[in-house]
Amino acid sequence: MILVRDGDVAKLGLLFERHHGKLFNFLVRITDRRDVGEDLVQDVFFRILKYRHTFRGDAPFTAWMYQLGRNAAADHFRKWKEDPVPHEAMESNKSPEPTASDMLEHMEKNSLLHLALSRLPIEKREVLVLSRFQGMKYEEISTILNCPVGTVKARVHFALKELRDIYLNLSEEAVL
Amino acid sequence: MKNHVTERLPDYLTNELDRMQKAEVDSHLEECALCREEYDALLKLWTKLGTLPEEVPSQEARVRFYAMLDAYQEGAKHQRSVSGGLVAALNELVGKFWPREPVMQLAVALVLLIVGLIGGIRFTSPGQEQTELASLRNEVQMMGRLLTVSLLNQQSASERLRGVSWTNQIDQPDPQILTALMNALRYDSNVDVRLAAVDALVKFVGDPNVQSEMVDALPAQDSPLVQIALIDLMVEEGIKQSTKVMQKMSADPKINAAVKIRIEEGMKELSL
Repeated sequence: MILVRDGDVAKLGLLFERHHGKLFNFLVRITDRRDVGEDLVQDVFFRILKYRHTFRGDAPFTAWMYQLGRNAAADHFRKWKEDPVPHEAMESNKSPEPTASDMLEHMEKNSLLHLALSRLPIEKREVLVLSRFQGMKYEEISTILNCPVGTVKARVHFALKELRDIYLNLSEEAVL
Repeated sequence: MKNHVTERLPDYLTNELDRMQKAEVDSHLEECALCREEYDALLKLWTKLGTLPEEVPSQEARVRFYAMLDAYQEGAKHQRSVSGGLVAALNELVGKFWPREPVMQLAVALVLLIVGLIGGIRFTSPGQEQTELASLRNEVQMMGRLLTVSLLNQQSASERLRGVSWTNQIDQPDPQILTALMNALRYDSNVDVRLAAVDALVKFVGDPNVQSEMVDALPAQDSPLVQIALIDLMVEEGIKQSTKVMQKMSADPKINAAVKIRIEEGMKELSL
């Protein structure tokens, strides 16, 4: 990133290849939309390019990238609040469903958990996503969120418990 | 059973405990059925989370990224040659804008007309070179204004971005341009356009009207990026009248944490 900041803009391609998959995963889990995730990845890399001179190098590049990702997602949510998109738009962007039995199993297991995750408040969802899916330590998450490690720890605690409650409720509803 | 470990279970799962703490939890779990039950439930959930399929970006993401990078590099090259001089600016204009958009065609036609007129006048009155050159500059500036205002009204965000960047060609603050930039800063739906408007307004910030307009625009922004860009500008330019607005923003419980920190730093710098 230092090279990119100092003018070797083409090197951004290397950073994109190395990190865009993970960033995409994060943004999809946060926004619950593949199409929005793809748009936001482009948005983040455009911002990296445009504001490269503001990269200070005292924290890892990934922390900065995720900070920009969170800001881009916040902008998306703000806009979405004003102009909500029907849920079907999200469904149409998912991968094609395989067989009926696969679908049933998916519906019963993953979808419920997926749904439960999407119902977690955003500040709890993001710490859980960063910890579980991005494999980050509390320390790294606190740098991205710009908050004390204790706050991250507390959020992970509450997030896990709330996720479990939501998941249990959904499972009970599914059985009924 | 004393010293239940339920509060430490999330840290245990996320591997945040040191070896000693981990051993304590392990030994407690062996003895305490209550904590073990809680642990099993959380572990099940944690493991299940790990089985959610990974989201893989499409190939299109890569194509879009490299197109953006190429366009950016191309744009930067253009920027360099445009700033190389008046002739280069005209060359860029003809090469880049002529074939595509009516607004650009009009602008190019205007330039050609002006150059033709000035050329004609020069041949008939060679003694007035300086005046004609100044007149040519004025005309080019006028054309820049026309282009800027037209581009800022386009539907496409990238066109509006180009409109904002065109203001770099303008040396004299012009009420029409300033209004267009302030409108872009306040009302444009695209964050990048608003940020570019902040950058473009930097050169006009000596004007007290611009200063007060920017201070007014600060609390109306909903993007933390734009807020921080504006605060940076206020601090760099020492615009003390912004402190009241910043104080009010800082007291808002919904404010973004990064913006709050920047405000606190900014207020300190402004009070020096």
